[in-house]
Amino acid sequence: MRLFDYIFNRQEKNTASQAKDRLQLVVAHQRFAQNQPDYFPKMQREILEVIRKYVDIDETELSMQLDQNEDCSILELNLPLTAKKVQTNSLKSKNNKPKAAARKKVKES
Amino acid sequence: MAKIIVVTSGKGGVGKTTSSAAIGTGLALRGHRTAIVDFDVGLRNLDLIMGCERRVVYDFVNVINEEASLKQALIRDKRTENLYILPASQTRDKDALSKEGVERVLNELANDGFEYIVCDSPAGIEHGALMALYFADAAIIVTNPEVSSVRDSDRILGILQSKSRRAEKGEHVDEYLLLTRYNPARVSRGEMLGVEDVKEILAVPLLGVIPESQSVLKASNVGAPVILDPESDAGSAYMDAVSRLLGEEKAHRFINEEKKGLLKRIFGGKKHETV
Repeated sequence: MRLFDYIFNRQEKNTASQAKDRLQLVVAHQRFAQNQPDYFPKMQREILEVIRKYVDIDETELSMQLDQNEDCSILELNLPLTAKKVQTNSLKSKNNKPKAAARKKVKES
Repeated sequence: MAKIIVVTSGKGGVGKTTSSAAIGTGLALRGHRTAIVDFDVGLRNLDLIMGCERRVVYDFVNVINEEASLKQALIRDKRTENLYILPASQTRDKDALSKEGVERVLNELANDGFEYIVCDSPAGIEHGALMALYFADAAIIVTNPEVSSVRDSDRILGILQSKSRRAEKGEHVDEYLLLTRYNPARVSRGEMLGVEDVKEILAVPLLGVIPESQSVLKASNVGAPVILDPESDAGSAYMDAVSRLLGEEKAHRFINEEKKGLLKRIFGGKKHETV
């Protein structure tokens, strides 16, 4: 029976590698959050609210980052839109490619 | 000049106090005049781990409030020469640790000839934890090979890099990873994050790996730091970590599972888990 368990266990998913994958994501997110300006989370919420008025969105899919260059900062927002509603909107994208990326330049004062 | 080392983790229960006691004792055993300071105001435990709980008269907050002198509050360790303990207070509120007060006490310790000041941080990222790490020259990040502990360690690293005095001055705090409660057998079965995984995620040099060991509980039961038990795996792993802290090269031990024969793996393999 032990032998059976042993072989069977080996075939189970390696939970440590799942832990590592999850951690790498969460840590990357955490490090980004640490370096962002204080107004960032609020701005992110407000932008999401505006988008939600027009289309269905899955907030968990949102990625938003601020890249700092020498004289300007680039705000990059990447948000896949749920396919159905997009069709009825002016923001047209194909069903199989429900992705819209918005790029916005913010001049730093 | 005194070197201030904070032992911190973010998460509770990962072995900060055990590690502070072991590393402070180890530094003293190696001949360095060392003070271990308990920053966990309200929940002091270092005194119990060090076995000096019955000798606490004055504490850290008394010294800050100038109700007692540093000399009165410092407890001289009975087992180890060169070793002193400054206990936390048990009752007062945590805001009693003012930045100015903490700085004054740390300066006084340094002027008193202490070479190492080990700051045992409370869990969390609140005032007490911030005060413990603020003045640090070096930080030992105690981490268990477990997701919430690793995440919290990363968080505390971020705080060290932005909120410590050295960070404010644009200087660097030396960071060291101390992986505790490590179980090589579970790692090799793919049930536990391995050393390399944690190192890769946190990107901090490894000070040591302390194996999960019965000797740690036994040591805390009797109030003697586990490093005083040189026969134990955890004790010798801490001794190695102290050597590395002092700049010596030491190969890491206790990372790999003991080799077992095929028969033992089939029939006796489960026994190992009860460690």
